[in-house]
Order: sequence, then structure tokens, then C-alpha cells
Amino acid sequence: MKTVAEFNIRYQQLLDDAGQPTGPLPDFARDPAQLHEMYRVMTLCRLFDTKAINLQRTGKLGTYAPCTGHEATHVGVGAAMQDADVLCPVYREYGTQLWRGVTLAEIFIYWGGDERGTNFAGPREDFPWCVPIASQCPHAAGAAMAFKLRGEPRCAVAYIGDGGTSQGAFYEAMNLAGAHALPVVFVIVNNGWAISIPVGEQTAAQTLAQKAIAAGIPGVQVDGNDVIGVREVMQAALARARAGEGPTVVEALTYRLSDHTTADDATRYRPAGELEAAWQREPLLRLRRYMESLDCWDEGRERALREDCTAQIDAAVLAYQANPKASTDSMFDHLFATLPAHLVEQRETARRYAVGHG
Amino acid sequence: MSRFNLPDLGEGLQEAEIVRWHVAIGDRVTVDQPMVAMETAKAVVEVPSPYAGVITALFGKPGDTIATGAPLVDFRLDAEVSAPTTASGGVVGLMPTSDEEIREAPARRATADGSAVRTRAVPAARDLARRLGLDITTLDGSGRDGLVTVDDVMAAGLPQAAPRAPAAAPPQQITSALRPAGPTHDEGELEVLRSLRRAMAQSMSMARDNVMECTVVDDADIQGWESGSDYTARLLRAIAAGCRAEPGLNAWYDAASQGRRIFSHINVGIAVDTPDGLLVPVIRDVGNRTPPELRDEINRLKVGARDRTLPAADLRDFTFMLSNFGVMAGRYATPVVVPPAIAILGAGKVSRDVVAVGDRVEIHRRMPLSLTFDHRCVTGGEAVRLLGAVIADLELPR
Repeated sequence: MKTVAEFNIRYQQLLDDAGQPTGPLPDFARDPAQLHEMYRVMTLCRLFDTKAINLQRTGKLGTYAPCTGHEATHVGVGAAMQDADVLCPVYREYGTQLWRGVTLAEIFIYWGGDERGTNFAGPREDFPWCVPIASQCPHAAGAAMAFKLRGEPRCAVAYIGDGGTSQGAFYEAMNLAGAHALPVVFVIVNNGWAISIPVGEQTAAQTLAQKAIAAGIPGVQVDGNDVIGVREVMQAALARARAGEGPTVVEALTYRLSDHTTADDATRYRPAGELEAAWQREPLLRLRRYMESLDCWDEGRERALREDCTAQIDAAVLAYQANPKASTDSMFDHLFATLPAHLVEQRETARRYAVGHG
Repeated sequence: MSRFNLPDLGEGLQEAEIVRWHVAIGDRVTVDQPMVAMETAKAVVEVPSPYAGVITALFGKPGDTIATGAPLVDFRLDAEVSAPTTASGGVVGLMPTSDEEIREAPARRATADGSAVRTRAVPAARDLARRLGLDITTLDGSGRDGLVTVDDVMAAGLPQAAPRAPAAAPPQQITSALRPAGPTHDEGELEVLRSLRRAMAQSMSMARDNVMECTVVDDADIQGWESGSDYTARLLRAIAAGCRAEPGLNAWYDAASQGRRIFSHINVGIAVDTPDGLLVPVIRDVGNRTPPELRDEINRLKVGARDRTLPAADLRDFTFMLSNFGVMAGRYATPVVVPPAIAILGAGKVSRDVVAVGDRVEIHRRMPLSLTFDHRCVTGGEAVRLLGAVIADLELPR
């Protein structure tokens, strides 16, 4: 027997747990304005999460999937993308979406049970939240195929969780993307837990990034709590895709500091101490320490930022609650070019009830 | 006063149990302050306060199960907080309207002569205006010193903010009869049944769905009773006599195994009407107790039922039921058998009836009786023989 192929998986970390550079940093990481903007969106996500959970607990929002702990990955990916690119999210990547112009109110509207929240006023061609696991990956490969056929310099970015990488759709999408050298990046957000299944029980693979190898595409790991590292890795992957060199799989290693959703209780399955240890590595504090070491951040700015974010969130709650309820017609409006007779009848029935019992 | 009803804390959950309160009546709370830990089928979750104000009532104690939609907490809202959507319980009314924030970022309104007039607005109003595409400097503020409030922006912005609403029939919400709805002008607020009343609803539905009920009525002539006779104690003794005559009615029927258990002791459950609903405390072994003993036990159970201090042991395993509804009103009824028991005796209001005595007419005090039995395992003959024995015992002078 002789070795016919060898592979390796590289790991990127530009800021260590204490917020200190591990080596030379890219230009954007020395620009206070860029750092402030990334930190602003990360903080907005964190505060938004708390408000959304409180709204759910008081009956004003449906089930909600929190993002606490993922902010660096989400914002790093968003900051690396271009406006013309297309995002295929899962359901908790608010940091990327906010960066791309999705509004807080739209997020509330969606989790309030109203699909119109996915009708983004900002990134019109970004895909909606995708609750079925992994189905967004073939969507992204398809969008990337379209970009390639049209000759457009655009990329698709698909998110997937650690559990999602066990799904066939993920492998199929990677395979298609590899075979056609499509301009797409698959971002695996490995937060350690697929609801209650730890990643060690999910797969025997040493890394999730290595799943890319089977599809013939590069896979790389990055510290998902290091926004600078994530942005840098993503910029390289997107540049590669835009240059026609094909897809990349990026595995961001982070930790879900929240429950899976508001209908979950992680204390029932997560080992004691794991959460506390993960909080020591949380992404906001890391970036803040780095900014403080550059003398471009202080307590006053922190306070002002939090007040500004809180005001924005409160305004978004108002806008969400002021959003008029959908009419019963909306149940029938978007599935058929010509509505079948039995559904016409149901639509009429629904209208009668809406008027009679409103 | 604002009431906070327990929301669905998961996905389609019907109820949640109180684990512990973090607040007490009289406490002042702020929006989003942790208020109570609730345990659902899936999780223990912290429920924060939706309001700023003072707690005036807590509905339940640790261990109590609260139905989704049932009242959890009452608040007296802070007077200074204007609440445009208090009726729907929104958090809209709790937006901070802090004067300090106003001075930070004044917008300016240019006047014809080029001078600038400051527009004062809270940051939330400013941001909402921006999102709704409104120029905040064109809005008239209704707050102190012309302060533009969130309400002003809402009032100005809502028509423009709803371009996606259908032009014709405005969207309306279907209110399900099963969901708690806000009070309307002409109907009462839906009160979700709790505790005893809820249990009654369940056991009555179960009885309706399972028992083949048959009711027979008659009267006991009690003209001969000594004065001061104890009605309930006499009824209990009569039931014991009836059950001795027909033991098959002092029994449980198990439909699943199509079997019955006939008991030698007679445990009579007495229906007690309480403000919270029906309660059925049980007097044990009535066949072997003296009238004074029965009276003491009746008194103990009545007080315990009224105060809701009865232990669970006093509320289970009755083998026969008695409803002494006649102390209020009503002569005959079709009382409901609660499985697994198979018979219930209803005693109506005693009245002075014209009766034939030999060839003469007399006026006698008579007690109307209604016996309902589960015809699945008791024959009509058995039932009326029991009723006959009850009447015979009741018609004894003492």
C-alpha cells in the first residue's frame, strides 16, 4: 500500500481568548471605525436576544432561536460578504442579517408568526430563514450555479449547524458545488450542540471541516469567537469563489451560550460547568478587550452603545407591534397562479369568519 | 389595573407549574424584571414582567398548575407611564420616556428665516420616525414642552406604515372561543376554569361519555320525624340501610375489565358547593357510626371544604354519593354519577304536601328523592329496591 492522497485541516485564530493578537492582523483589524461597527452589531445581537426571549416569555413573540455566543461568527461572515452576494441562513444568524440590512422589526415579525418578516426591505435576494435542517445548502449551490451561468461576480453563503452536517442535503450541495466549482461558501457553525446532541455523539469525524475533503473542496477551521479571524477566513474564501476557483467549507468553532430555542431547557442535558467555561471565551468581551488595548474603546462608549442599541430595539418592538395583522387571504395568495375552486371556497369561508368574529 | 395571563411558554403547551415567585404582592417591578420561574412539560423558564408597576395579586403558589391563558399576575401600572396599548397588554406602554436622553441629540427644524428651532423627541420616537420614513421635525409633540413622543410618531406614521394592508376589508382577527380574548363591550371576559371547577368539568364530561345513567324519583314521608332531627345524618343512615338491602349499588364499576367491586363498608361522598367549584368530601363507613359521630364528621368536612384545608385522603374513594341540594331549592333532579361509583342519591327540598292517608286528606312533610344509577351494571329492580329501603328507613320516626 502506498499513500495516494493526503489532506490536512488548518485552524485560524487571530485574536486569542484574552483579545491579544496571535500574529500580524489584517488592515481592517487596525481600523477603529471597522472594529466599532462590528462590535456595534455584535452588541445589538446580544441585547436583541434578551429582549426577544422576554417577549416570548410574556406571550408577545412565538418560539425564538437565540444567537447569544454566535455573534463573532455571524458578524464576521456578514462583514466579509459583499452586498450583491446572497445569504442562505438557517434561523439564528441575525448578526449576518443585520449587517446586510435586515431590520430588527423584520426579525420580530417573523418570530411573531408572520412570514412577511422574510420580505426583507434591505437584502432583497437573500433567502428567508430556513427551519428544515440543511435544505438551505442545495439552495445556495443552486443560486451559485445561477451566478456562474449568468457570469455574475457574486457568491452565495450557506449556513449550517454541526448537527446539520449529518444531513444528506449538505453532502449533496457540497458535491454539486465542488463538481461545478461554484461560487459558494458553506459556513458550519459548530456550537457544540445539535439541540441536545453533543457534536461528539453526532459524528466520529475529528473535524467537521474535513467533510469538505470528500467533495474535493477545501475545508478550514476558524475560532468562531474571534470576529477578526472569521472575517479574514471568509474574505479569503469569498475571494477564491469570486475568482472562479470554487467553493470552500468554513467550520467556525463557537458555543451556544443559550438554550436551543425558547422551547428548550439546556440545563436538562448540558454537563454542569461547560456553560460557565464557555462564557470565559465569549466573543464580545474578546473584541472589547482588543479595542481597549488599542485605546479606541472605553466604558463611556460602551454605555452609549448599549443605550443606542436598547433604543433601537425598543423602537423595533413598537414597529413590530404596529405591523398590521395579515388578512386571512394571505393563507391562499402565494401558492397558486390560479387558485383551485375548493380553495376559493375556503378563502370565502375564512373571510366570513374574519368579519363575523373579528 | 393590568392583568398578565400566562402565555404559552413553549410550543402549544396547555399549562405550566409555578416553581417559585421572585416577587411578592406590593413589590415594585420594572419591565423585563424576572418575576416567576415556571416549569412546563419541557423546561423551567423565567417569566419576566411585561409591565412597570406594583404587583397587586399573584394567582397561585409554588406547585400550582396554571393553565395557559389563565391569570398569573395583576399590576397597578406606574401612573406616569402612558400605555397606548394597555388593552392588548403590549410592552408599547413601557417605552422609556426619559428627559435626560432628550438633550443628547436634538434635531433642528429650519424656519423660514433660517434660524433653527429645536425639535425635542425621545430617541425611541426619533428612531421609529426614521423607520417609518417620517421627518421628526415636521411632527407636533404632545409631550411636555412640545416633546415628540412615541405616540405622536405612531399617530402620524401608522397610515403610511401600513402600505401592505389590503385596501378593502381591513384584516381582522378570528377569536377562537377557546382562547382568552380581551374584554369587549357586551361580553364578559373569558375566565379559564381553574382547580375545582376545572376538575368538575373534566369529571362531568367523563361521566357523560361513560355512564349509562338512569334516574328514578319518589318521596319519603317524614311527617313522623321527631323535632330537631338531623337531615344529613338521617340520609346517611338511610343510604346505609339501602345499601344493605342492595349491596350492588355500593360498588365501583370498571368498564375496561367489565367488572365491579362491591364494598362491605359504605363511604359516602357528599357534594359540597364551594365558590371554587364542586368538592366531594367522603364520610367513611357510615353503616357503623352513630348519628352524633356522623354529625361531627359532617361538620368537620364542611368546614374543611369551605376553607379548602381538607387533605386529599378526605376526598377520595367514595363508594356512594349524596347530593343534599334541597337545603337550597329544587325538589327532583337527575344527579350525575361520577365513575367508578355507580349510584348517587339526591335529596330535594322538604315541603308540606297534600297526601292521602286512608280515606282522608292530610298535609305531611315529605322529602323528594332522586336516585341515579349506572344501568350498565345495576338493574332497575335493584335500584328501586334500594330506593324503597332508603325511604323505609327515612320514614322511621327516629
